[in-house]
Amino acid sequence: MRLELGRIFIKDIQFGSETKVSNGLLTVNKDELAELIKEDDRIKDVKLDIARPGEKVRIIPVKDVIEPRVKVGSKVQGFPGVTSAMHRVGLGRTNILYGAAVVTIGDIVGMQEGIVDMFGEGAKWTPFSKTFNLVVDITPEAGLEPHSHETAVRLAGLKASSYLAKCAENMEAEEVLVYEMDNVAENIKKYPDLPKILYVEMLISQGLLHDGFIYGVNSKEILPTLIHPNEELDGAVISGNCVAACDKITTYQHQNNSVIQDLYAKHGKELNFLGVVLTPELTTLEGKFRSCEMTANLAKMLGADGVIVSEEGYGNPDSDLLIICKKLEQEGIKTVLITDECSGQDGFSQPLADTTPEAVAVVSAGNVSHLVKLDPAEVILGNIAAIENISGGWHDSVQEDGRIFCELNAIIGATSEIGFHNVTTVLR
Amino acid sequence: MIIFKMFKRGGGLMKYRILTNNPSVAAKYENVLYIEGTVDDVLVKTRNLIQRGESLVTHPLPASIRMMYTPYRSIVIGQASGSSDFLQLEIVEESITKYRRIIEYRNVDIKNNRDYENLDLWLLESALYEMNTNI
Amino acid sequence: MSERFKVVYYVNQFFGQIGGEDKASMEPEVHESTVGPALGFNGLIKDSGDVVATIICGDNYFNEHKADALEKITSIIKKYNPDVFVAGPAFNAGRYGMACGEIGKYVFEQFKIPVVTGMYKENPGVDVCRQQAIIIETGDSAAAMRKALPVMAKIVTKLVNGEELGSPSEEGYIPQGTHKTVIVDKRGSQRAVDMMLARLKGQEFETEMPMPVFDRVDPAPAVKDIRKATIALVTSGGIVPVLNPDHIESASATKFGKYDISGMDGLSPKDFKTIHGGYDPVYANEDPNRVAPLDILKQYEKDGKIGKVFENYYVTTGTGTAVANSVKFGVEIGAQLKAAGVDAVILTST
Repeated sequence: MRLELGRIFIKDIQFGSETKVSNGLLTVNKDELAELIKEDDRIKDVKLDIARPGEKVRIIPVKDVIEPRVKVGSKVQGFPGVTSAMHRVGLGRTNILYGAAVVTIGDIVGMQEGIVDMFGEGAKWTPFSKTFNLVVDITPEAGLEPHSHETAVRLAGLKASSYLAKCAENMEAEEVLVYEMDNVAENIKKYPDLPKILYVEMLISQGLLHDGFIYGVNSKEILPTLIHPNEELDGAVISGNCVAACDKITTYQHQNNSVIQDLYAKHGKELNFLGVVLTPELTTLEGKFRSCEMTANLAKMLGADGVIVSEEGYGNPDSDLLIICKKLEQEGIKTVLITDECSGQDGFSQPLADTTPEAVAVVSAGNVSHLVKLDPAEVILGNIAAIENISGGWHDSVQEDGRIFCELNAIIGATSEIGFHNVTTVLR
Repeated sequence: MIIFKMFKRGGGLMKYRILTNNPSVAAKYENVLYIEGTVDDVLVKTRNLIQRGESLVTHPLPASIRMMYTPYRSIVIGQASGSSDFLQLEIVEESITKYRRIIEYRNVDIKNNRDYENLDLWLLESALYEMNTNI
Repeated sequence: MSERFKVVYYVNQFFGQIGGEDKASMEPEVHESTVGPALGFNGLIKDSGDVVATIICGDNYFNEHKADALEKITSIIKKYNPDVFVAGPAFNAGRYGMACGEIGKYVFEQFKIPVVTGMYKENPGVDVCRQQAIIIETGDSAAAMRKALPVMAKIVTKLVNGEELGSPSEEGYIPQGTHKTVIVDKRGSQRAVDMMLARLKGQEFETEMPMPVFDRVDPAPAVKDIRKATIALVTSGGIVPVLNPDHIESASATKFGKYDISGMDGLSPKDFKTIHGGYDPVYANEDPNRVAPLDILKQYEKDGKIGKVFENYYVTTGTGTAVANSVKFGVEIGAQLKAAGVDAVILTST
């Protein structure tokens, strides 16, 4: 299967009379986009804003981030099973407005977190301080039930991203990345001496605001599933996770899954990338044991020599991560785990909720309790009152001069457990 | 009198009930052991019941840092066959230890009481759905 | 920093050149000169700092009169107002290490100045002050002094200048155990792929999150016939003969006691008392058997429920006990009991 991702570099966004890209400038017809979003009658109103890298803008609370993309030469556009009917993805040519992002904001519950600072200290800790962001803030119809509210916001963001990219369908891409891979049997025949690596991606699957979707199916409903890496790179997996800001996998990060990208880069050279197993992190113990058992079984069936396992969330999913690790290691399959830690503000606490001696190779994505001081912003996009909720009050996090003290766990993507960001912890 | 409900488990039916300090949950369901107290109280009661042989159906901890600060927590417990399961005991003890360490320097998020109350209920509903849709 | 920094230095009676074991009960003394290792240390920091005072204290005195010792040390610190406190190095000397550890921790918490010491990694004092002090890693005997002092001096200089320390292996200190969050060049997924390839190739790799190691001991198999067994009584409840002849400490014990109880029917309050600093002593002093039930064991022996009660009784204080010391006591007592043919132990704690 061969997927080409064509990058059209975006160097600025402005509102204008026509949605188009010219010389790196993305112009957006605000009214047209707003009308499109309001077609969903759950949505009463929508506010659109722009946030550029370096501007003293704070975006809060962020629900999801999506990369604008369009399928070249296809009548069917959008995310299969979500914003369009089920269709095949992972092959052909997809154009990307590279450097741009749609950011949906607005709280469905009051203590949703998720800051993106486009400037200062905060910018270092989120990857989305470097993208040109179109910020979408919807107002739901009065009395809209929370599940519907969440769905409305999710779809609005995905639709907006497809709308923006549409104008780039027939544009010349400045850079084309090729993701091509034979099937599993062919790869093993072709690279008999390369170690076989499987990527297990754990997805939070526990209920409202803690969901993931694969081809539109809520990940709560699935059994561990093997997919082709191109499918995730081309929109098959999206995020419904809005509560854990620092380590949730945004849709943008699914589209650009860094573990997939980094394994692909070495495929056929140093390793044989077998594929991706999506594993739901369920609530019940029975469900967890089932997920872990089946995941390990898939790895064994495929003959994996090594498995990289990434987590989403913190707390009960730590158990799943370590059970999978233990099952694999006991069968002689080598694991590397990617997870974040909650070691307290002083860094002294035990990092995970659980431990197992078999976890000898772990990449730490950072301590979610690490304190940072954010500089005062000139513009706040979103809910100003949400600022006070950040990290839930152990002392006044908002200083008189407008600076904010908060933990990393409030910043989008700060401790990304798919290793999207370059943060870690060191032992001192 | 605590009423139990049944759900299918391992080819048979298992009784379960909900341990919670969440008034919305207590109002909605019958098979509830309501605890007037904190999340810590709910976790400790869960541990005590597991020690006495009941079984853990849902994991005691939530799945994200933000949810750790919740003032409400609902946990589903099932009636077990006989002796306590060591793995379950370990899970619940480690959950208490971890929870206390995380909460140590924080205040409970009272401002967002109502939202946490709702979230806990919705997550519980998902869990019950998960329990009841599998044969 | 244009001013020179001030150091107050702590040593025990031996390194303070007062005497050996015979002087281990000496009270704290302060000298406005540099004694023992403080002299060598002072030479190493002479470009920017001075040792303004050396405290010498007996290891036994400290461990047995902790509150008094700390009070005295507090007034010394207040008087000299140092920028940094240095103790030891204690190498593998347990009581000295405990003293350096307790004082170091105390000074750090009360005065908020950096504390530097040096110990062998198995010294029980390490666990006491690991999080509060920077403990440089030394060899296990005083022969390592020459290597240790320069490392301590370098770290002290960095700390007073507000410089961040590098990794424990680079700088030569025992990891404090904290996880510091930093931004690095490589993203996490890249580090994961590299780590995986290194593992598969059998190469060296370093995990970014070491799992805590739990020292688990498998229980011994059950006693076959308890009616024929010799049972020993051991406690960490601090019940000792009234004069506490072995000077077992009330907390952070550095020793255990062994006493002959063969002629007794129980632990009488006339002969035994509690020295445990961690609980209300009233009821234990009224009847020490409440903590270490020798009376019951002796009754069982009379009734034929057990074979016999072992003639020796072992005791230490189980509050604030350094893990390394606990392990040491357990191993030693266990060896003695095994050699004497004891079948099982009743071990009580409080």
